[in-house]
Amino acid sequence: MSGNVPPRVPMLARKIVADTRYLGRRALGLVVLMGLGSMLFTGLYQSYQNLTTSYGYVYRVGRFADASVLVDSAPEGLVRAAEGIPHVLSAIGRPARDGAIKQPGRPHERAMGRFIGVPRGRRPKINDLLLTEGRYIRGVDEAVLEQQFAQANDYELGDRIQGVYRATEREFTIVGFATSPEYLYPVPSEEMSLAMPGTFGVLFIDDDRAREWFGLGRRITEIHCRTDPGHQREVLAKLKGLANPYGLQTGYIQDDQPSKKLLTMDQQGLATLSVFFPVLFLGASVLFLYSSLSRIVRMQLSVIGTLKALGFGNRALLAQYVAQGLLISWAGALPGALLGHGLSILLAEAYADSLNLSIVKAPFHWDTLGASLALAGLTGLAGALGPARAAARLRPAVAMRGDVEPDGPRGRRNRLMEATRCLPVAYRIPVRGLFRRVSRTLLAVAGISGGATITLTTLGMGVSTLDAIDEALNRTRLVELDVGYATLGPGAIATAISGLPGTRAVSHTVSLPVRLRSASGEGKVLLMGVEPGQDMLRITAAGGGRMVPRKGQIWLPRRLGERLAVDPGDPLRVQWTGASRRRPDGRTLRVAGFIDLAIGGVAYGHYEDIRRGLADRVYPYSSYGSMVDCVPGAVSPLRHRLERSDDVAIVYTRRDFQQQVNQQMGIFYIFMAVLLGFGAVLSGCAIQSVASVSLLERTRELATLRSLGFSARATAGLAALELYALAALGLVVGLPIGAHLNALYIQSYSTDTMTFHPLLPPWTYVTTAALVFGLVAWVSRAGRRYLRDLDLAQATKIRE
Amino acid sequence: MSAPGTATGSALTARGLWKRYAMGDVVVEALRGVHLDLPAGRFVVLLGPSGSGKTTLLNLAGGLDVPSEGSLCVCGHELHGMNEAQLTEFRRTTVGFVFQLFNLVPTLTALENVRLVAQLVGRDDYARTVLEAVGLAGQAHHLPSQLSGGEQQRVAIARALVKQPRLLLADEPTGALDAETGRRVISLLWEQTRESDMTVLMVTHNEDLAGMGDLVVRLRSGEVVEVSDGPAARLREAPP
Ligand SMILES: Nc1ncnc2c1ncn2[C@@H]1O[C@H](COP(=O)(O)OP(=O)(O)OP(=O)(O)O)[C@@H](O)[C@H]1O
Ligand SMILES: [Mg+2]
Repeated sequence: MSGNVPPRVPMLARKIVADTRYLGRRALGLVVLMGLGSMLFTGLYQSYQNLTTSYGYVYRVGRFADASVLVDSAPEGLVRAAEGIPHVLSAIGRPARDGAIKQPGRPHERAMGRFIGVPRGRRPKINDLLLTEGRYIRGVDEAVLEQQFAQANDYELGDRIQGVYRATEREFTIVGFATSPEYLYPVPSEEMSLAMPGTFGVLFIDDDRAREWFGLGRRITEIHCRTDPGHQREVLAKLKGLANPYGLQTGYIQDDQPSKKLLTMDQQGLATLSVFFPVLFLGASVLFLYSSLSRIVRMQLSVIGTLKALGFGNRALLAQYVAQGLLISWAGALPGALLGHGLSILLAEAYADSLNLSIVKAPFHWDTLGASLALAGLTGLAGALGPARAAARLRPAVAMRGDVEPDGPRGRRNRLMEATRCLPVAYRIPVRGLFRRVSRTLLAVAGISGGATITLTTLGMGVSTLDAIDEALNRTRLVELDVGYATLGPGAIATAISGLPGTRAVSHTVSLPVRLRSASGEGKVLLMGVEPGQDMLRITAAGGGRMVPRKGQIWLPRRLGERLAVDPGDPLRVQWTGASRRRPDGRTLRVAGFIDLAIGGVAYGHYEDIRRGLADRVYPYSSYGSMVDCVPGAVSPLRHRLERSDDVAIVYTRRDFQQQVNQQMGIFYIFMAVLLGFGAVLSGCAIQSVASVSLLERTRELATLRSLGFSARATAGLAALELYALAALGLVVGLPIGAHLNALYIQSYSTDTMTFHPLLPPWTYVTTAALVFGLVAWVSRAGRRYLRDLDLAQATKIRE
Repeated sequence: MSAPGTATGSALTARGLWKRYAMGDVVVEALRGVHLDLPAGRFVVLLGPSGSGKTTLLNLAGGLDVPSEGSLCVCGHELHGMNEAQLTEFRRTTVGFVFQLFNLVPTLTALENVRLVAQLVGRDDYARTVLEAVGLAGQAHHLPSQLSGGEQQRVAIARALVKQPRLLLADEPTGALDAETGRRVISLLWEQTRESDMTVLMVTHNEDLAGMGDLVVRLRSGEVVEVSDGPAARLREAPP
């Protein structure tokens, strides 16, 4: 080729455009699919990036501590010792205690309170506040309130707020609302990460007033350090060593700080979604693109043959179809990415709004745009390469004849011939059709099984989650009110509750965080003491039978038991988590057995046993309370009576739990619906793409069958048979993968406090299969219509 | 207008047959009032310039398309007013097709392509005999892509013959073949049908092949302009 060659490239380019226009609605569908995929990717990933930047801003401006320890109480001088640890840049000490907030007339009349002392008139060097409204404290009876709690409970500047610490009350005037890096997502501690919004308030008060109130003298309870980057763990270890003699409760580096840890987990979920959803779209796009381009290639066999005969090389043809795939992909991806940018701003704003966070950074992330376009390019390439190579490899003579040889080596083809010989001849057509283009069949099976996998996994997730909720709310807990006491032991209050109108039963509980040590392992858990005679907590032991607390014994969550490698009867050293050499509170219990609850990794013991042996000695780090059963109408009045009592720290009703669960389930249901939709779309795309192969691209063959005397129904039936076979294959592959994935997924999500059971009842399989076969039926109905309305005179003549 | 026939009855009777195609505002009249009687058992050659309506007539005769006007009776079946099920039944039992592009099922072997139809009409054991008759016993297990054009067309003929249709329709069966191969294919078709009372209606452009017909029908602009006995007719009528 030489001389007047150059014009051929523009002509081929024009052919690409013409071909794309020929694809019409299909091309449009592809552009939309690609656009959605890249919009979701850009939108979700950028909002992840935006949130990261925004949180980062709060952490930076708030000078978030890199390493912290919480102790019972320690002399102020310990801060200077902490500053002496290598790589510590600065350190602060502060007094902090937990108590209750009394707020008559507000949504929760009583809430958990945390009171933190900060220097008056001078901002803390570490863990500073970011004021959203008002000002910083100047006087001893002024306070800044954490703003999410303030909003949930309708506080205004100038309002008075009452704190209770061990029966002593202090009142403060609220002069400001603030966000703090420590309470960006307000949770009291890692064990209490499921606390309900609006029930945990953090009050920043003058530190002299705090010490006086807590009776601490010149002592402190927390040390926070800023360190050189990369030395957090090392500093924390030394810090823990320093704090150990003073009743070390816990210590963490910044990434393990409860609030940050939860936010990070949350964000990681967003990051996962931002990849997961788009991948589904792009997977469907690959299938769709593949079938569309295959169709063009099939239709243009003689054109391809002619082009080759004219002297166009394989590479020119390959490039042509690949270019078409890329063109379609990018046509969707570019606007999709731009829309995604807008979406990311909306999403991040909505997200930050739920945290009352106004500082959102939403720059254009060029790296994400680039990744989005690269992903689209890969999709285009993946979808186009097959058809393009098929086109390039065609021998001109074959192409011009209009028939494409079935691929695959001759040996395999012969075996296939043998294998299908037992079938009536008509049925050999669909079976061999499956093997006509093996790569296409595999792609279809992959698509269908992908759809089935997603569907089954989603159903499984849904079933397991709903079962866990049902178990937690209805099957194991017949508790109407959960009461937390503000005092040590039940005292008079328990008797008082039994006497209240409507009360059916009252049972004491006690709980404290403990460290368990077996011969081969260690773990932390919340230990709860319940009365042996109670009937409100109906927990089934692993292996059957009811969990009944016995003296000297402890029931363990199954997962924890496995980690500790203990068997029933084995001894276990049980110690309060804050125990130290100076306060070696602890005792040895024997393992009674295991419990297998999905939600709530709590260990259970005998009430009296736990109280006297452990809880009483470490108060106020242990909490006392009771479970109350009452007649349905008595819940509200009981709650109000209890919330007004000074002996009560907090009251949760069964409704509170349900509401919280429902609130969180709303998003979950949407998520499920979207996933199921995707499963259907993916299977649908796969089936549709095969259907278009077996119907549209074989029009002449099918029309010939009809002119030979096969009815439209029989002909469509033959084509549909191929689809059903593919669907069955897809299910055979997809269902076991789905079951496996479901188990994996649930395992990966199970923690010490949450261990969902991987449930896949038969109906989930049946539903998945019904969905796939239903799609096949739907697609083949369209096929039957197509064959019925076929112009036989034309169709027997066309060159496919 | 009729030729003397050996077999009884009429294979095709057309009365005032019109076929119009609407192409936007333009209406194309492919057949314009065709009157035609074809006695059974003849080898009929249909000649005419391109666009004269030959394919259209064949399609109507085979029930692949319906006339715009007029009546068409094929082997005793009045095609007008047949529903889809009846048309399918008609195609299954009464007519056979041989296409210009062969139209074999690419995933079935030569023998299987024939058996496909043989099983449809309950004559499975007959398939191999017919394939042998067209001289393809040796290639029975070849796929269409492994056969030459002439061989493929012979398979297509076997496929048409195996159901022993009363009317065999062939639209330029040699159109995709070279002259020599085409002649051999047509001879084969001729040999295979002269013993039976099957009527063959074959379209061709090749005036040489017209000599093989015992009846020649000429179309021009959608009208029948001539029906004449071909040389073969005299051959057939000659006493043994
Ligand atoms: N589906 C159709 N739509 C519109 N016009 C048609 C259609 N089929 C055929 N025609 C027109 O009808 C006329 C007759 O066509 P037909 O195919 O019967 O011709 P023919 O004699 O078979 O020609 P050739 O020898 O070239 O095959 C032509 O003018 C053609 O353009
Ligand atoms: Mg024609």
